[in-house]
Amino acid sequence: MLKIYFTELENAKTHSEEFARCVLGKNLNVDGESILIYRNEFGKPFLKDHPYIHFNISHTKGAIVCAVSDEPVGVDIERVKRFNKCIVERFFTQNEQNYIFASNENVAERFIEIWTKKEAYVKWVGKGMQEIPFASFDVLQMSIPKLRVIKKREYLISVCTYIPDSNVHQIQMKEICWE
Amino acid sequence: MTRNEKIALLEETFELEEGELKEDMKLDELEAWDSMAKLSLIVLMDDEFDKKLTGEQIKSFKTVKDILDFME
Repeated sequence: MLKIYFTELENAKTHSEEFARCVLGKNLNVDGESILIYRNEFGKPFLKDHPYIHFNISHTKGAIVCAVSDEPVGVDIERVKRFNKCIVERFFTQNEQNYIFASNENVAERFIEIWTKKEAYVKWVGKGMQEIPFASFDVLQMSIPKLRVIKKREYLISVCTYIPDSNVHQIQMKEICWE
Repeated sequence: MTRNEKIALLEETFELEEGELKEDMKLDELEAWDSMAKLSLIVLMDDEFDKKLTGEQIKSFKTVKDILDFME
Protein backbone atom coordinates (compact mmCIF):
# COMPACT_ATOMS: atom_id res chain seq x y z
CA MET A 1 0.00 0.00 0.00
CA LEU A 2 1.24 3.45 -0.88
CA LYS A 3 -0.76 6.65 -0.61
CA ILE A 4 0.65 9.89 -1.94
CA TYR A 5 -0.97 13.05 -0.62
CA PHE A 6 -0.40 16.32 -2.43
CA THR A 7 -1.45 19.86 -1.60
CA GLU A 8 -0.66 23.31 -2.91
CA LEU A 9 -0.24 26.18 -0.47
CA GLU A 10 1.88 29.18 0.45
CA ASN A 11 4.67 28.72 3.01
CA ALA A 12 4.98 25.02 2.24
CA LYS A 13 8.14 24.71 4.32
CA THR A 14 6.45 26.04 7.44
CA HIS A 15 3.44 23.76 7.09
CA SER A 16 4.94 20.51 5.81
CA GLU A 17 5.11 18.70 9.14
CA GLU A 18 1.64 19.91 10.07
CA PHE A 19 0.38 18.53 6.75
CA ALA A 20 2.07 15.18 7.43
CA ARG A 21 0.46 15.09 10.87
CA CYS A 22 -2.96 15.67 9.32
CA VAL A 23 -2.41 12.93 6.70
CA LEU A 24 -1.07 10.47 9.26
CA GLY A 25 -3.97 11.23 11.57
CA LYS A 26 -6.41 10.27 8.79
CA ASN A 27 -4.52 7.02 8.12
CA LEU A 28 -4.24 6.05 11.77
CA ASN A 29 -7.69 7.27 12.73
CA VAL A 30 -6.30 9.45 15.46
CA ASP A 31 -6.01 13.16 16.10
CA GLY A 32 -3.05 14.29 13.99
CA GLU A 33 -1.93 16.71 16.67
CA SER A 34 -1.36 13.84 19.08
CA ILE A 35 1.11 12.12 16.74
CA LEU A 36 4.74 12.26 17.80
CA ILE A 37 7.09 12.51 14.83
CA TYR A 38 10.68 11.48 15.52
CA ARG A 39 13.67 11.88 13.21
CA ASN A 40 16.71 9.70 12.73
CA GLU A 41 20.20 11.22 12.82
CA PHE A 42 19.90 12.17 9.12
CA GLY A 43 16.51 13.79 9.52
CA LYS A 44 14.26 11.00 8.17
CA PRO A 45 10.95 11.18 10.03
CA PHE A 46 9.37 8.11 11.61
CA LEU A 47 6.66 7.13 14.06
CA LYS A 48 8.02 5.34 17.10
CA ASP A 49 4.49 4.55 18.28
CA HIS A 50 3.39 3.09 14.92
CA PRO A 51 6.41 1.19 13.56
CA TYR A 52 4.41 -0.48 10.76
CA ILE A 53 3.51 2.83 9.17
CA HIS A 54 6.22 4.48 7.12
CA PHE A 55 6.00 7.95 5.70
CA ASN A 56 8.06 10.63 4.07
CA ILE A 57 7.51 14.34 3.41
CA SER A 58 8.78 16.75 0.81
CA HIS A 59 8.01 20.33 -0.01
CA THR A 60 8.90 22.87 -2.61
CA LYS A 61 7.79 26.42 -3.16
CA GLY A 62 3.99 26.22 -3.25
CA ALA A 63 3.42 22.51 -2.65
CA ILE A 64 3.82 19.66 -0.17
CA VAL A 65 3.72 15.93 -0.72
CA CYS A 66 3.45 13.24 1.94
CA ALA A 67 3.78 9.51 1.14
CA VAL A 68 2.36 6.95 3.56
CA SER A 69 3.12 3.24 3.21
CA ASP A 70 3.41 -0.05 5.06
CA GLU A 71 7.04 -0.27 3.99
CA PRO A 72 9.94 2.19 3.75
CA VAL A 73 9.30 5.07 1.38
CA GLY A 74 11.15 8.12 0.10
CA VAL A 75 9.47 11.00 -1.69
CA ASP A 76 10.58 14.23 -3.30
CA ILE A 77 8.77 17.05 -5.08
CA GLU A 78 10.15 19.87 -7.21
CA ARG A 79 8.69 22.43 -9.53
CA VAL A 80 9.98 22.11 -13.09
CA LYS A 81 12.22 25.16 -13.50
CA ARG A 82 15.46 26.28 -15.08
CA PHE A 83 18.53 24.66 -13.59
CA ASN A 84 22.25 25.04 -13.14
CA LYS A 85 24.00 22.89 -15.73
CA CYS A 86 27.05 22.64 -13.44
CA ILE A 87 24.98 20.62 -10.95
CA VAL A 88 24.35 17.99 -13.63
CA GLU A 89 28.00 17.89 -14.68
CA ARG A 90 29.29 17.56 -11.13
CA PHE A 91 26.74 15.51 -9.29
CA PHE A 92 25.05 13.25 -11.87
CA THR A 93 26.44 10.14 -13.54
CA GLN A 94 27.46 10.22 -17.20
CA ASN A 95 24.45 8.07 -18.05
CA GLU A 96 22.10 10.51 -16.31
CA GLN A 97 23.78 13.47 -18.05
CA ASN A 98 23.30 11.79 -21.43
CA TYR A 99 19.63 11.22 -20.62
CA ILE A 100 19.03 14.85 -19.60
CA PHE A 101 20.83 16.38 -22.57
CA ALA A 102 19.60 13.85 -25.15
CA SER A 103 17.58 16.61 -26.84
CA ASN A 104 16.75 20.28 -26.32
CA GLU A 105 13.09 19.57 -25.64
CA ASN A 106 11.93 19.14 -22.02
CA VAL A 107 15.48 19.33 -20.66
CA ALA A 108 14.34 20.99 -17.43
CA GLU A 109 11.72 18.28 -16.87
CA ARG A 110 14.26 15.50 -17.38
CA PHE A 111 16.62 17.26 -14.96
CA ILE A 112 13.91 17.49 -12.31
CA GLU A 113 12.98 13.86 -12.92
CA ILE A 114 16.56 12.72 -12.21
CA TRP A 115 16.94 15.15 -9.31
CA THR A 116 13.76 14.08 -7.55
CA LYS A 117 14.52 10.39 -8.12
CA LYS A 118 17.93 10.84 -6.52
CA GLU A 119 16.42 12.68 -3.57
CA ALA A 120 13.66 10.09 -3.18
CA TYR A 121 16.22 7.27 -3.17
CA VAL A 122 18.44 8.96 -0.57
CA LYS A 123 15.36 9.63 1.57
CA TRP A 124 14.20 6.02 1.15
CA VAL A 125 17.57 4.85 2.50
CA GLY A 126 17.11 7.33 5.33
CA LYS A 127 20.39 9.15 5.01
CA GLY A 128 21.54 12.43 3.50
CA MET A 129 23.25 13.37 0.26
CA GLN A 130 26.47 13.78 2.21
CA GLU A 131 26.40 10.09 3.16
CA ILE A 132 25.19 8.96 -0.28
CA PRO A 133 26.75 11.32 -2.83
CA PHE A 134 24.52 11.88 -5.85
CA ALA A 135 27.24 10.82 -8.29
CA SER A 136 27.66 7.45 -6.54
CA PHE A 137 24.44 5.91 -7.91
CA ASP A 138 22.51 5.97 -11.16
CA VAL A 139 18.74 6.23 -10.85
CA LEU A 140 18.25 5.15 -14.45
CA GLN A 141 19.82 1.78 -13.78
CA MET A 142 18.06 1.08 -10.51
CA SER A 143 15.42 -1.64 -10.53
CA ILE A 144 15.14 -2.40 -6.79
CA PRO A 145 13.87 -0.34 -5.07
CA LYS A 146 11.51 1.01 -7.67
CA LEU A 147 11.63 4.71 -8.54
CA ARG A 148 8.50 6.21 -10.03
CA VAL A 149 7.80 9.74 -11.17
CA ILE A 150 4.39 11.40 -11.19
CA LYS A 151 3.61 14.69 -12.90
CA LYS A 152 1.23 17.00 -11.07
CA ARG A 153 0.69 20.26 -12.94
CA GLU A 154 4.09 22.06 -12.92
CA TYR A 155 5.52 19.68 -10.30
CA LEU A 156 7.25 16.35 -10.54
CA ILE A 157 6.97 13.92 -7.63
CA SER A 158 9.32 10.95 -7.36
CA VAL A 159 8.60 8.04 -5.05
CA CYS A 160 10.96 5.27 -4.02
CA THR A 161 9.55 1.99 -2.61
CA TYR A 162 9.84 -1.77 -2.96
CA ILE A 163 6.39 -1.96 -4.57
CA PRO A 164 6.89 -3.83 -7.89
CA ASP A 165 5.04 -2.99 -11.11
CA SER A 166 2.82 -6.04 -10.59
CA ASN A 167 1.41 -4.30 -7.51
CA VAL A 168 1.16 -0.82 -8.98
CA HIS A 169 -2.58 -0.84 -8.23
CA GLN A 170 -1.60 -0.44 -4.57
CA ILE A 171 -0.45 3.11 -5.28
CA GLN A 172 -3.00 5.88 -4.78
CA MET A 173 -2.56 9.57 -5.46
CA LYS A 174 -4.73 11.95 -3.46
CA GLU A 175 -4.94 15.71 -3.77
CA ILE A 176 -6.02 17.49 -0.63
CA CYS A 177 -7.35 21.00 -0.38
CA TRP A 178 -5.81 21.86 2.94
CA GLU A 179 -5.57 25.06 4.96
CA MET B 1 33.26 42.05 -4.23
CA THR B 2 31.15 44.06 -1.78
CA ARG B 3 28.79 42.53 0.78
CA ASN B 4 25.78 43.68 -1.26
CA GLU B 5 27.19 42.13 -4.42
CA LYS B 6 27.61 38.84 -2.59
CA ILE B 7 24.01 39.00 -1.36
CA ALA B 8 22.92 39.64 -4.96
CA LEU B 9 24.92 36.62 -6.09
CA LEU B 10 23.27 34.45 -3.44
CA GLU B 11 19.83 35.73 -4.47
CA GLU B 12 20.59 34.73 -8.04
CA THR B 13 21.89 31.32 -6.93
CA PHE B 14 18.83 30.64 -4.79
CA GLU B 15 16.48 32.08 -7.45
CA LEU B 16 15.18 34.82 -5.18
CA GLU B 17 14.02 38.30 -6.04
CA GLU B 18 16.39 41.23 -5.63
CA GLY B 19 16.29 42.51 -2.04
CA GLU B 20 14.64 39.36 -0.71
CA LEU B 21 17.69 38.07 1.19
CA LYS B 22 18.77 39.67 4.46
CA GLU B 23 21.93 38.95 6.44
CA ASP B 24 20.12 38.01 9.63
CA MET B 25 17.72 35.56 7.95
CA LYS B 26 17.75 32.07 9.44
CA LEU B 27 18.43 29.51 6.72
CA ASP B 28 16.08 26.95 8.26
CA GLU B 29 13.23 29.40 7.81
CA LEU B 30 14.14 30.24 4.23
CA GLU B 31 11.90 28.42 1.74
CA ALA B 32 14.62 28.47 -0.92
CA TRP B 33 17.21 26.80 1.35
CA ASP B 34 16.78 23.25 0.10
CA SER B 35 19.14 20.56 -1.14
CA MET B 36 19.32 22.05 -4.64
CA ALA B 37 20.28 25.42 -3.16
CA LYS B 38 23.02 23.70 -1.15
CA LEU B 39 24.54 21.99 -4.19
CA SER B 40 24.25 25.26 -6.13
CA LEU B 41 26.15 26.95 -3.32
CA ILE B 42 28.94 24.34 -3.54
CA VAL B 43 29.23 25.07 -7.28
CA LEU B 44 29.18 28.84 -6.69
CA MET B 45 31.90 28.73 -4.03
CA ASP B 46 34.12 26.56 -6.20
CA ASP B 47 33.64 28.49 -9.44
CA GLU B 48 33.50 32.07 -8.18
CA PHE B 49 35.52 32.00 -4.97
CA ASP B 50 37.81 29.01 -5.48
CA LYS B 51 36.64 27.64 -2.13
CA LYS B 52 35.75 24.03 -1.41
CA LEU B 53 32.58 23.84 0.61
CA THR B 54 31.89 20.62 2.51
CA GLY B 55 28.64 19.15 3.77
CA GLU B 56 29.78 19.74 7.33
CA GLN B 57 30.39 23.42 6.62
CA ILE B 58 26.96 23.73 5.02
CA LYS B 59 25.40 22.15 8.11
CA SER B 60 27.19 24.72 10.29
CA PHE B 61 25.61 27.64 8.39
CA LYS B 62 22.70 28.98 10.42
CA THR B 63 22.11 32.39 8.86
CA VAL B 64 22.74 34.17 5.56
CA LYS B 65 25.53 36.03 7.38
CA ASP B 66 27.36 32.72 7.96
CA ILE B 67 27.46 32.14 4.20
CA LEU B 68 28.60 35.70 3.53
CA ASP B 69 31.39 35.34 6.09
CA PHE B 70 32.54 32.16 4.34
CA MET B 71 32.72 34.11 1.07
CA GLU B 72 35.24 36.58 2.55
